[in-house]
Amino acid sequence: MGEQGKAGDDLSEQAIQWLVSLDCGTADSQAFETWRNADPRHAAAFAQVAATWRRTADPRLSIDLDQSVDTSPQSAPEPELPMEPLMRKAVSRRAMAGGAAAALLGLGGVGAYLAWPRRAIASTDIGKRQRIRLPDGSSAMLNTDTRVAWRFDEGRDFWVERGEATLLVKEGETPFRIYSDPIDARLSAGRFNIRLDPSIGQLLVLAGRAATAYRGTLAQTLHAGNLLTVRDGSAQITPMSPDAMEAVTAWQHGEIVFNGMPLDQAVVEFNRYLPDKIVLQTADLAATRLGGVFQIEEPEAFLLALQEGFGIGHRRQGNRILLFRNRA
Amino acid sequence: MTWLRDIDIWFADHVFVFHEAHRRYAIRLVRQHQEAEELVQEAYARLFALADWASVANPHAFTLRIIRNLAIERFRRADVVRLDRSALLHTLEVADQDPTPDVVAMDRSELNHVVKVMQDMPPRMREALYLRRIEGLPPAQVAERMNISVSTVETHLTKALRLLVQRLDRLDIQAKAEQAITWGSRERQETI
Repeated sequence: MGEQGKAGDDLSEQAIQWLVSLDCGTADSQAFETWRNADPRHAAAFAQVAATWRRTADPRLSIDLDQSVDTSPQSAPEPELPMEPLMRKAVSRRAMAGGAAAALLGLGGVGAYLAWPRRAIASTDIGKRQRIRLPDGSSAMLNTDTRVAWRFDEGRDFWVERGEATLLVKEGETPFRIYSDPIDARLSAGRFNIRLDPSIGQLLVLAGRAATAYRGTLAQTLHAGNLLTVRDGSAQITPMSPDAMEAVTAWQHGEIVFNGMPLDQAVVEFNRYLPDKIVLQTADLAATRLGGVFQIEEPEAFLLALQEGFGIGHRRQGNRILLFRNRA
Repeated sequence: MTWLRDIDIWFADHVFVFHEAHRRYAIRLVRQHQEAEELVQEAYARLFALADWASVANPHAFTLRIIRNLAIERFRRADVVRLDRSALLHTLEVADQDPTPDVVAMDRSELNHVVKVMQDMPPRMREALYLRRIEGLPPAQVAERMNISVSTVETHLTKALRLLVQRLDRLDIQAKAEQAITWGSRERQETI
């Protein structure tokens, strides 16, 4: 028994060496396939090591480790921000190119940008999310029903046509710019969440800084914890608590967080992820406030919670889910 | 990454996420850690010998059933037949009609384990792993950034992965032991 256990450790060690050498491109891949196919135990050992290896690329790790290991833009004192020189450069260039920013905005809608050639495009369906890696090592996580484009040949330009995306921006030679209707911004290294709803655009700086423009006007720089909301052409900057920021980005791990949100808003929020929409039957339900954390992929649990916590029932009708108050 | 096949991803997402449950189930059957781990490893190897792995409706329950069959085989071959175990083998039957809920991402506590192991790594090892895995730089660029050779990068990554495999195994066991829940109740938790 003990010997078999040792054999298991030994296989695991072989699998580790195969995996890393394959990853670094130094392995003889034919020799590897021969080894893997020689025994299902080899294949199983390799798959277990590979599963552990995959865990190290979880997008959430960058967040946790940025805070605890690397220089943390959020906890470091402001003047020592590593991206400070980049931002100063960006802002001074921006002052020079102030008119150019407005000109870019005048080009007529993001749809037109996306139609330009030489752009890479990515999109997600309703209820899906996807992570994309950008050529400079930055990355973007796309939420439900989102469409983005990017071009990195001269500068670093990123367009958001619809939906929501979190950008993890790495430091680079050229400024990182995002374009959307209605918000444009130059981003320092950091983390940013941009969300477009009908008639509302929001940019939240989770870490780093953003110099923003909307509808052709220049606005001030946003710092970590600032949320810019542009609605009907007017802009508002709101400071966000760490908890509130956590709630905004909960979708990244498949969660949706309600902190006393009225039911009508909560339904709008959940419906973003559902092909079949939930509809409130009676207006008196709308103001019911609810809290809790729900799994995006399990709307049934949300409906069940409404039933058990609030006495709100539901029934399906065609491709809609109707909510109504249970009669006692 | 041709070396990562569909079956490897299937295994990671649908089987290996339940490693602890498999281990606990095996321990209940054979009452001995080392032997239990052997059963689990043997069961995993059987999965990789399957031609039609993709058609398994509930890979987790399927794996439990293999573990149980292997335990019964061992039990029958044993010199001394233990009746209490025989009874146990029959009570621990697995229902596998229901498909397993997909566990796509690792849960928060597992993620924290990875963070902890990475935080405890020597700084250069962690830096190499961070640049390669989280920033996604090619090994040559990792080498350039760290001002070392690619083969040193490879050494750092090998040591890092070895540490992760060993420590995560232990941390997962500890965490699950602290929760002190049976595999049955964990199943239910995961379906909620």
